[in-house]
Amino acid sequence: MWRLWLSTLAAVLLISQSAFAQGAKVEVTVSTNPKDECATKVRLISGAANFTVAQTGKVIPLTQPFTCTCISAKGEVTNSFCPDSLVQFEFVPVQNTQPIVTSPTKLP
Amino acid sequence: MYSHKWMTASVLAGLFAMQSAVSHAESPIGTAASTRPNVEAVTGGNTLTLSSGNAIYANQTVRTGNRGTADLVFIDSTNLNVGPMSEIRLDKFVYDPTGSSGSVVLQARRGAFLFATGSQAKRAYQFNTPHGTLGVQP
Repeated sequence: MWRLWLSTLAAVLLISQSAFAQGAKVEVTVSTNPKDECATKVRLISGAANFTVAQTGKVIPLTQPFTCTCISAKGEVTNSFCPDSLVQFEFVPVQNTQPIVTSPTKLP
Repeated sequence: MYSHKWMTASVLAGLFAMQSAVSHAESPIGTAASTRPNVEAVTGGNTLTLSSGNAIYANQTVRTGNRGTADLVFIDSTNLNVGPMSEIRLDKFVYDPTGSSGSVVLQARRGAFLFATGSQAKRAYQFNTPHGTLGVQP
């Protein structure tokens, strides 16, 4: 009985921890070419986000991974399924990156 | 009379030098984990080449050239990949790992970006573009 209770508790803690820790991963492109249909384009990879359109104040929820949201220069919004990445560049994977530790600076 | 003028000029020069020293003494908010030339970091009108391992600072603008890319890792593990021909300002960075006063504000001006939020509260993150604001759902 205790074992079952403990395993349930552990599972609940694990789920709540991952829910808290999970942020969002998104791709964003910003065009300066007025001929482009999408002035800003956002593609959700994971997590959940929202986009507030500057011109209209409309809040677009982004909850479905691999969905692209296209915002025109006039503030019009269209959504589409887009399995392919928006960003056409590759990065060298980061390995063993140590965080920078900072300490308060004492002024003389 | 003349000595007063010299004293005033010396004090002003000293204050100017201190301001310059303080601006360089700001704590870094992360590091450029990897870069591919050309990548520039612009701070207060000064433009420097951003190379792998260099620190990044708040109020800095990161700009990439035709083939330039940068992978920026912030101290809260936020990851920002900047593609070629891109420009983004690291507007604000407040690290509050335990509380709720953290704030990460980025201002993308042009280009392509891959943005992954870090360890702070979701509402801390704000990714601005000229056409709106991207936030993380709580």
